[in-house]
Amino acid sequence: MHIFDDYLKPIREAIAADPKSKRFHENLSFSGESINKGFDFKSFNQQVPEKRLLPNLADFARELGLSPNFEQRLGLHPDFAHLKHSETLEDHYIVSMFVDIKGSTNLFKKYTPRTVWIITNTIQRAAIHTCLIFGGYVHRLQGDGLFVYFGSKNMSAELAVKRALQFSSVFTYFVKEDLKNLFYEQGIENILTRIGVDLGYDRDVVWGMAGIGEISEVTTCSLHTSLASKMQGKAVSNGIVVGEYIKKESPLLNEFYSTVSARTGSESDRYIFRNPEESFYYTQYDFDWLKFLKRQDFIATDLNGVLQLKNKAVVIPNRNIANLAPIAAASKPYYNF
Amino acid sequence: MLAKSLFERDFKEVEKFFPKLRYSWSSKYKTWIINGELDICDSEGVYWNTFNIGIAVPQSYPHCIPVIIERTEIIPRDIDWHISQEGLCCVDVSPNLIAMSKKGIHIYDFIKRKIYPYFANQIYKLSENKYAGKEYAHHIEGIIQYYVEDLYISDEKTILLILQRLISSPHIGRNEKCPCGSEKKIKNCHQLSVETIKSFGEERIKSDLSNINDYITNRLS
Repeated sequence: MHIFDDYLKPIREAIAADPKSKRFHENLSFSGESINKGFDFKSFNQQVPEKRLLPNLADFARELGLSPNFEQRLGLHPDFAHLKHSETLEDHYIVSMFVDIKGSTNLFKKYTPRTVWIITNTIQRAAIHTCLIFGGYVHRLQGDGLFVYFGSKNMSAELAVKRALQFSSVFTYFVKEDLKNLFYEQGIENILTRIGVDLGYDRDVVWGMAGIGEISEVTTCSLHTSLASKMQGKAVSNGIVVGEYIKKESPLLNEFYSTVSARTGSESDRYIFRNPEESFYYTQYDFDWLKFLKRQDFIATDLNGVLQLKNKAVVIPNRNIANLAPIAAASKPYYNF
Repeated sequence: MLAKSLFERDFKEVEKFFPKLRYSWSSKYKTWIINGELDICDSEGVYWNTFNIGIAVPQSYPHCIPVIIERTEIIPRDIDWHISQEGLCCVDVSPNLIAMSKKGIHIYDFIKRKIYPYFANQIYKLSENKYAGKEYAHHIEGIIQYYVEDLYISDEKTILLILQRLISSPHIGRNEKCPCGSEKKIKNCHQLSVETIKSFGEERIKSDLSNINDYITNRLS
């Protein structure tokens, strides 16, 4: 899809410059001097700026007609910022998402901590930038992962669900395909993601300040935020598990959902939450994000089954009609109507 | 649950590579109907355009010839663009399609090898004012071109000789002389071409013979 190519570049360069990796491959001496050579925060910040999308991802945002809001603060959803240091609570729907990135521990086997820092931070910045494009709010950074909200006072729950599914699908594709290929080249174990998503309606979600003074955040208290975290643990590698209300708010996507119990073969996995006293049984579903992504208007699938960005909104500099000729020349049309 | 038909099983492959196409069954026409968008990318994976298409696949699948319609109207409705006013697309010459249907098609393979290149070729022509490869002439001239270029039969006269022979006596032993008049044994001459022609069936061979004869006669007169 190439939308994250610019994010792969610093990772490649950090790996290439890593002194421990060089020693591993070339049996070179491992000195403190070369450790410093392998790391440069300034050049990293230039390559992956905090508040600017890298070119391909910026094209992607233009294609979607969306622009990221970089003026966010952790733990302070802009629509509920007024609740900070107040004694007010509000009820408002929200989509909660937990994105866990696994496998980074293995990186320490081959690279210095500073190289690992660049790798994990680049991945995290790619995740944050993508999340912002889809209108998400990064609520908290959790290790290498993210706790994200989708939804606002000006957005319907249905749209928030759609955006959440789009973000999680695009980001999972990045991890599963682009990062996998890069790390495969390096002969190291794969990094993978697991995502849990759930929707709580107005009646289910309380917004308010948690903590004390400046040791605080504006956050949600909701069964469905808790369930999103729990469902993330139920996802397969590079999988997304969603709650029943997500499915309910996206009726046109029914074909992409299957119960987790259908995958595990265990009926006990059908519900992520049971409350028999209130006859409340809440189902968890695997979300077929790849199939969903392939159906998106902004995605085309090429003849090899590889996902490509449509790029209708931007001029594609490398588009060359000669590259269409080998496919086109296989056709020999006729007319007999 | 009812077992899935061969078409439905084969369509799984279509979903993987052409995910915006979906199928339904028309009991009225006893036909599988595929509808949706076909995105065209080049060999580098760069996206070019999207066609809204329909494909009718008869119940006799895999022994059938799918009918393709283009609804986007990106292609000019003109005979030289190999498309009818209604958007029916002529992706290949009919004897070729008949030969494929006799062997049996796979719907994924048919889209990949016939439909996708047809639309890629139309984009190519829209940009370059010519097709990337060859095209068949229209109507009977295209059929003659098929016999010459695809079945390696040298000229109209030889086509007629072979077709006449196959109508009068379809069985030709491997060591018999080739009906093309070369005096060679058929196994060393037009064996493969003759087998392909035989697969069209007697009715089609007769109509090709009659149409080519008429074409030559009209041209002479």
